[in-house]
Amino acid sequence: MKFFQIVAIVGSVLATAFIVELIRRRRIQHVLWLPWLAATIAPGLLAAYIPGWAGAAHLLGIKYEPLLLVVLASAIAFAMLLYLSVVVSSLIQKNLRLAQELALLRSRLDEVAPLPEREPS
Amino acid sequence: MTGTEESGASSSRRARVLAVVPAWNEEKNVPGVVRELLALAERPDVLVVDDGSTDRTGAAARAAGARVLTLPYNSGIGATVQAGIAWGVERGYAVIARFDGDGQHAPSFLGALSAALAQGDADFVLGSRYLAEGGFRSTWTRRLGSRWFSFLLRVLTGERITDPTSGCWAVNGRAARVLEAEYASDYPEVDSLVRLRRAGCRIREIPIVMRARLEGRSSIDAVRAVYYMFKVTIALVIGRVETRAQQGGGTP
Repeated sequence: MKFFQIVAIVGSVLATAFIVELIRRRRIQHVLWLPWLAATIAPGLLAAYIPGWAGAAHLLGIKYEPLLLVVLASAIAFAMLLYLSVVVSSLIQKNLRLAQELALLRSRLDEVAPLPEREPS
Repeated sequence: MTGTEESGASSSRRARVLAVVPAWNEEKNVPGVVRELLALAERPDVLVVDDGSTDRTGAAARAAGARVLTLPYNSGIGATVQAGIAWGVERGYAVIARFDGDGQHAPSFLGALSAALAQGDADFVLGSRYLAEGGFRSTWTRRLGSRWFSFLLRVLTGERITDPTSGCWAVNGRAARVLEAEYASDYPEVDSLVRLRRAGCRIREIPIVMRARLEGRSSIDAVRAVYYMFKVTIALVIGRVETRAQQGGGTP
């Protein structure tokens, strides 16, 4: 095994450990940790077994094998950004609904027992 | 008089017309709009929806005699209007009308909007600035935008609308429930017309005259107007594709 492979595998393990720690501390919610875990484990696996993806590159007609990794990295980055956009959009929508529901409930409560005037934020 | 006492008075006369006034930092303008609305012969209930203002818009509106619905943070015009519609639907108002808190929509047109709804041939009555002579003229970018969306709506829905970006309208219960269920979060006017047509609601326009803002400046400049045209156009075209996909999916 060459030096750069060892560096890549160690880097991958450290990054994975960091993500696992964030999950353990609940700093990343369950809908978001899976793609990050995949993104940190994948480089280690690719570095550990180069003939596998180099062979795949040849099968696809790519003469300079590392270009396959560039393509894969771009595709994964695209997919992750898209996934995050979908999750954030859903959260924005839910957040707006919650804000409306809160305002409507406060209004109902105000009809029963008026709340003190709130200072503008 | 507190908001609750005011609401009690409003409920006792069983007003069936609700004027929704979306407002964001309109402390200076909103009391005048509320007072004009409350002075009308229709005797509407007035609900100011305070979109997370950082000034005293809510307190000013309440002092002028309006009910106030306060969103916890600035949520955008779509969410603000939708919250007002939801409030009106919950309480079973027969007519819900929108008048902006900047005073550009003259409250005196509430009678004409309500009367047009009462004729029974429309679920949504839109106040058009281009069917009447005179009044405040908006910027050329906005007029261009209106013409573009008129054309687009005609192509997409077959509906002839002269002022699709107008925010002055009145709805009956049927159309209110459609808008309560789904309303675009920003730049909702044109999108809501398409949604109403898709839901089978009938749309009618009547002439209104728009006024200049009572105080302050509009938040929509030329750059935003162009952005608005671009964004809404894409949303409408995608909405059309989505509708076709739904229709196709429903066919065996």
